Amino acid sequence: MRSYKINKDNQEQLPDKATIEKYKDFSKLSHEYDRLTKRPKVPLYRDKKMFLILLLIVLIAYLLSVVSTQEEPRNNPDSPQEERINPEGNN
Amino acid sequence: MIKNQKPRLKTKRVKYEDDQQLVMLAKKDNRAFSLIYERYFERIYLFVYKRVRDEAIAGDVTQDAMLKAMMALPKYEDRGAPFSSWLFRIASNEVNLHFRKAKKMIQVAVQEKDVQTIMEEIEIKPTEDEQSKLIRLLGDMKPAQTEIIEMRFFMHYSFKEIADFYNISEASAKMRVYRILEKLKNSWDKQ
Repeated sequence: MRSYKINKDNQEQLPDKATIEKYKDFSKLSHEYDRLTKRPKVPLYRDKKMFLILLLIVLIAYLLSVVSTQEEPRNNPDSPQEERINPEGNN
Repeated sequence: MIKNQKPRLKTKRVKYEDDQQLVMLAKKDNRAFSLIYERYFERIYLFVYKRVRDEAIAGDVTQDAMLKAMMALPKYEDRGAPFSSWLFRIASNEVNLHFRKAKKMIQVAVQEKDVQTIMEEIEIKPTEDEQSKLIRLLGDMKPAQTEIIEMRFFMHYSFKEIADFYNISEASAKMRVYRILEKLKNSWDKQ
């Protein structure tokens, strides 16, 4: 958002060379470029935080697989649990 | 006259080829971008400064523009326009982005004589009240329209420089400026 205001002093003052030089910093630019484009030097698994996140994901995946294998026998029609439930009550 | 023109054209050609060589170098090795940075920093800084009128903000916006240019350089293609116009367009987009991001209204100071020049162009008597009205109307215009007006009247760019910036012919640049002035005149008449 911008608006204009009139400067009555008709002498336009531009920053001098020394002021411009103050803002000129190629090493900062280069550093920023590297930060944005280059891959991090530490591999993911060596990063403490990332390692914990990876560990958590693996743990959740393991628990899910354990739960699903435990639930499988309940869905199996030949399982003993199914035999006990008889809708006609002929036992 | 002709004698004076020839070397100027030659220098321009040399500068154009020189720029393309720098671009080729920087594409191969991004550290060579420092040569482009050295050559254009001051010009880009002044271009940005004239639009934002704040030294520190101009410094930050120039740095951001240079970073974007460095990142986009691998995609840059030489289409016959000067390399500098590509850089200036990036800087201009960055200035527009800065104004869009700003949550509060930013006031940009413009010279009174420049406002008077616009008023003369659209045939309005430059009294103090009328000047503020014109400034208000300019503020209401679309950024793309004010950009070209700023370049022509506040930054004092020639039509050739505007043409290079937009990568269009000089005649088209002239036409764009006068169309926007016409729009400005129409909205003036409506108010």
